[in-house]
Amino acid sequence: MSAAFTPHPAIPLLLAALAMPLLGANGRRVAALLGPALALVFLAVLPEGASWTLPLLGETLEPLRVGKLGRVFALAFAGYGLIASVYAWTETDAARKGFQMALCAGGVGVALAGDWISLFLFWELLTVCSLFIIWQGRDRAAGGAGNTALGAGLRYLLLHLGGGVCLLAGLLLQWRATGSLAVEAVALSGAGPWLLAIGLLTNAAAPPLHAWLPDAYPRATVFGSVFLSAFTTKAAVCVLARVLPGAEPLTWIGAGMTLYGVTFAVMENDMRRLLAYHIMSQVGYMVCAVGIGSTLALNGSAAHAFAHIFYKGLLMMSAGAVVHAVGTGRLSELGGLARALRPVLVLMLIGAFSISGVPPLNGFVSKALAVSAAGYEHRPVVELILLAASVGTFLSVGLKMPWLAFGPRADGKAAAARRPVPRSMLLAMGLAAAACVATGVFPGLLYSLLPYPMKYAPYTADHVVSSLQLLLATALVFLLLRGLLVAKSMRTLDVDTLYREPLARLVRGAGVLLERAQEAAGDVLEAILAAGGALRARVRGRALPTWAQALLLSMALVATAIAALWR
Amino acid sequence: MTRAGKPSRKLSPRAFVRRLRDARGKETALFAALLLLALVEWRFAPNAHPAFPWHRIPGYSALIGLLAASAFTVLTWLALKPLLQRPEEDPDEKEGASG
Repeated sequence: MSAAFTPHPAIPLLLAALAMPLLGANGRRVAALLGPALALVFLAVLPEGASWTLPLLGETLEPLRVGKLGRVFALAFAGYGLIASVYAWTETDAARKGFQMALCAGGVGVALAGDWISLFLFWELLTVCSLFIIWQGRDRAAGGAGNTALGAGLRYLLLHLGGGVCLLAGLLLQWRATGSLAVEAVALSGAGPWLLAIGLLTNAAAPPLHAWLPDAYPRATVFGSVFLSAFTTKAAVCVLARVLPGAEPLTWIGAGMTLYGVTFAVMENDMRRLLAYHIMSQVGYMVCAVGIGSTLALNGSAAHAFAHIFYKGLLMMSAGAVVHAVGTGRLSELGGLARALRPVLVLMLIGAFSISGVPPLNGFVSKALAVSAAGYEHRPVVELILLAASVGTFLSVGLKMPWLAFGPRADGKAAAARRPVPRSMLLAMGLAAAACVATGVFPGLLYSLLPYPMKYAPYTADHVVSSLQLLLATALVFLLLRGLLVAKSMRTLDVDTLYREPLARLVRGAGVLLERAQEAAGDVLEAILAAGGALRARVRGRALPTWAQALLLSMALVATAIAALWR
Repeated sequence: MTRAGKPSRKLSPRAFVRRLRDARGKETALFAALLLLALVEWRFAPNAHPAFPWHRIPGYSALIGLLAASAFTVLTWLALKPLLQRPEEDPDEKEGASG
């Protein structure tokens, strides 16, 4: 296809983002639907291999290169963006809608970028948009966390700036080493690839660089969390799969992520924080599969990312609906909501069973690829870790969360649902649930999108039976030991404890320094003015020479400017 | 353990055995279903592509489920919660993550 007539799927999303301030409330709503819908149409019509090339300073940039792997992720990003826009139908704030659309554009752009410079720009667009969406969580009425969202945003920024610097340094080293800016697979050896890996793993929320995820995502508004849950981590998985397939350390990092995430989720009290830990855990499956590196594993990584975007979105929407209706997402304050929020419960259970790998939902057909790949590649420990993490997932999301939020409370009362859940929210959750069911019941829909040819049948008798055993055994333990899972109003320390206080001290120290600098500037200014007065007194009766007047004036101006800047 | 969300947090081995002994209804049904599935696996649906020796054992998935779920529940309750959980007294946290 000619470059001039090749539409970039990120463009309608960017245009929608830019148009938001110019439109009225209804116009914004329509633009938020049109942007992702047009992106989906563009993705459907673009042939494989379609690209944009731009010459820049002797290099060739490729902001668009349609490959099979990138297309799977871009389709999921655009499709989910459409559903999330339906969910956020009642939101009409221009800034919020604009950043949401730009976030979608960043995700689609990263998935389709063919060169490192374009990828880096879209990558940073993701960071900036996520940051502002987190900061918009200052609005408590919209389900945000109030002023704590500011600190969480700053911590998010700090970690992502670090990750971005690593990515930039890595791509520059790669550029110098290979002479090419094309995004291609590299071996994980040497400084460049390792810096790339660190930058990518920061966004994938690999421990110990993960704490931004459970810290920041739950503090955004209800709609903000729903958008945030889909893009940053999966964009990182997409780039990892393109750049570092088969990198052995990723296998173990991913396996560790699966266990780390579910362990913290089992302890967590806040619904959205619990789900944030599960993003980390599920992304662990994808990172692990990228590390295994076989075609089945890479297909598994892409399929699981696709499925994950929809079922995790559905879960985040369900949690958001509870927060919207009740005013809190703390499990210790919920309970007894089954009657008041029955549709939300049903839809949440579809998401919860999907993430747990219950047949015939999409998590079952996608997770199976990654776990089977570990078996086929003779990785017994990895397979056992992935199975154990699957158990923890069902325990915490499939059983604990719905039980504590919707099940009967000890006092026999029910948490009060103060507001009805808007129909637009329920419609979006229904669409996400339909995607989970459709790709689960008809796995060919999902498998046909995958980058590598494969023959895999998820619905074999032995696979279904062994999955049911795993799930029923977990349910049995839950029934016997659920008393130990009762949530209390506690906060769980994570690695961010190590840097939160020093960071706060640093900010406080910088504030004190700034204050002293302002005082010093004020003193300098006063001294200059006093000197001017003394000089004037000394030359009383005579006019100051012009050069002296100019000197005094310019000194006063500079000092005033410095003081103003400091202030 | 009560059914409605506020069971005893004390779990001595004796209490656990008593709970198992007193198990009724759902617990028994689940256990029976697990036995049935292991039987089905043994007779009709053995693992078609056993990669490891334990893939040939009927009911190995149930065993993994029982062990892993117990480990997650007991270890987090016994070791990680006391070690890592604190009252929500930090002002930054007190404002709440979910409104």
